[in-house]
Amino acid sequence: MKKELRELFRDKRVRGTAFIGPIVLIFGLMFLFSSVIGGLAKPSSTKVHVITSNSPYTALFKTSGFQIVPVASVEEGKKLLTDGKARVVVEFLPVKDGVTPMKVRFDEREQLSVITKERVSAVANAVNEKQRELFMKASSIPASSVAPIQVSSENIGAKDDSNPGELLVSLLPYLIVIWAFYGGMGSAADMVAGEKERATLETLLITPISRTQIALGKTAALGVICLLSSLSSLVGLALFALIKPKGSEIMFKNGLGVTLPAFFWILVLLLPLVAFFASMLVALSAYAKNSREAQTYLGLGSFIVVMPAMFSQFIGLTDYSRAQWVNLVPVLNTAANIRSVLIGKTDIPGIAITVLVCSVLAAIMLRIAIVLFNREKVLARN
Amino acid sequence: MVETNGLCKEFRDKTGVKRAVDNVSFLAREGEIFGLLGVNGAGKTTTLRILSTVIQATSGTATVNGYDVVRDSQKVRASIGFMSTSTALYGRLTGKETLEYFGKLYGLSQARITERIAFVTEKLNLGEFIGKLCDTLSTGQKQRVNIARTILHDPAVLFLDEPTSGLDIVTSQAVMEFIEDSRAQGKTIVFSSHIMSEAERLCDRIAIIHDGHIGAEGTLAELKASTESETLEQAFLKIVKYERELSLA
Repeated sequence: MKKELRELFRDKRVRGTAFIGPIVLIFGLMFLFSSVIGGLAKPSSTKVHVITSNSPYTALFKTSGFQIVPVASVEEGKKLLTDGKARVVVEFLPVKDGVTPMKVRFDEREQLSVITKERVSAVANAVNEKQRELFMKASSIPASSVAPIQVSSENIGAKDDSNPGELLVSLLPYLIVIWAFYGGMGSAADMVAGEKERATLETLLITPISRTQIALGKTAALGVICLLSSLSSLVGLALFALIKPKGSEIMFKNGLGVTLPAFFWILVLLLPLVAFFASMLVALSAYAKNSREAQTYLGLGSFIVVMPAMFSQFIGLTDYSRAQWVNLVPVLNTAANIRSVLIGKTDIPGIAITVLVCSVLAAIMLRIAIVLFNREKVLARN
Repeated sequence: MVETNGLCKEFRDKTGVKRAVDNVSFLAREGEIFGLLGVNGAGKTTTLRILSTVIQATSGTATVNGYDVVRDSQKVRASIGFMSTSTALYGRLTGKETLEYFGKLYGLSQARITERIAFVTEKLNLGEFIGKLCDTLSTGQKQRVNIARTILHDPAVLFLDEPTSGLDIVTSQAVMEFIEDSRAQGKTIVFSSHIMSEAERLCDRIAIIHDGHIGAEGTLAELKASTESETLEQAFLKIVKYERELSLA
């Protein structure tokens, strides 16, 4: 294993894809998200095109922090919308029965246009609400006559600011799980199939160590790479939280939010998963005749990981996040439990089932890898 | 000592079953270089791969240094050194790291590894480049590290599969000197080649292998005499031609 790791760490491609890649990519991704979300959250950065008129409400959006852009005519406004140069075009029509009709023109094909339409409408609704309150107060009409239900909410979630933000909760499990696989994938093709191709494997086969030992050594080394790669994605996030670039406060309201106990449980969940991934990667690479063929098999194998991992991003939006069967689905179970750990709802029985399921799968895949290593047709062909 | 009895190896593919090694029997003694002489695809490499336990024979038996290649495969592997021009080195390890790694795989103690590395470094003149990554070495330097890897654990038996193929004349000469030196140390050497001059120079006895089976076996003088030839090349061609006619008949 020591030799495998030494070789892997000296390989620029492995260093790049398994360690530096996740750090740079996650940092860049977070930076991009922060910039985009930051831009959306600031009204001052949003331009609202308004058709020039005498309406006193024309300046309404300016006081709400939007940037007003005057437009001479409706036709010009429509053209700006069609060309994608305006998000919305607001027109105040002549007062009718004491009401000022406000028409918001938007393009439903453009997401930003739809979002801006909602925000512009909210500004007008707020004015209406304020006006209603004033009228009711002046007329001594009780609020209950127009609003028989009074809505209030209470957040019983953690208030110690130790949990990561919502976006991070949906992203982190996905990133941790996905990099555990992709970090090792780059090295796997070279590790067995590549060795067959270069005839270095034959030098191992003629030493007194058994083929089972060779398989175990390679799997263990690849497992270390998978684990480190997965943890590298956390390092990328930690760096982002530490440097705190402009806009990062939107992403990390409570800092990185991965507490020490959470990190411990993430490790407990990751260990059997990387064992499963590493043995699967070694088995696929052993079966291939050469590294090119191995890359094809590994690419197909990655779907097994990507599909449940992607679902884990949205599991919080469904009722499945608490369903017991989720703990039986490999990859998804690890991601779902990491999510639970991150939001402070560590599910020990769920973790136990997940660890058991992944360990069983790892044992099966390792057995397959060992069988392949001991099959002459598979290992001695090139 | 290396002994084979009726060794056969069949490979199955889409076109059917191909017999790569067909009833091969020979005996290579200690302190002897036994040559397997044949054209490409004759079955030399397959025979050596069976003897080094990389693959298993379909039928027949073989012993290496007294150990059965199937039952005692681990002991066989501990007794042999295998080298060919196609067996590569790990490019991202230095020569020294390569030797240390293989020393450990062969179960040598750290003290023994250090002692043997010092020995092979001096013997094969590796000092200048043993600390460099194998990827950065010339073909000749790589082959010298390869030889060092082969003899590091001081094996009783050496399997050398076309060890000079593709090498320049100077490196080839060094490899042949190493083979002669190993014979002088009493090692059993099975040497495969298709280069007649090398076989003439090195081999004590030669088996001419063609289409998977041995067509003739003997000393250089015996092969020449039996085929009424003046050179090994002529003898080889006569035996191969005779074998071909037999197979066509």
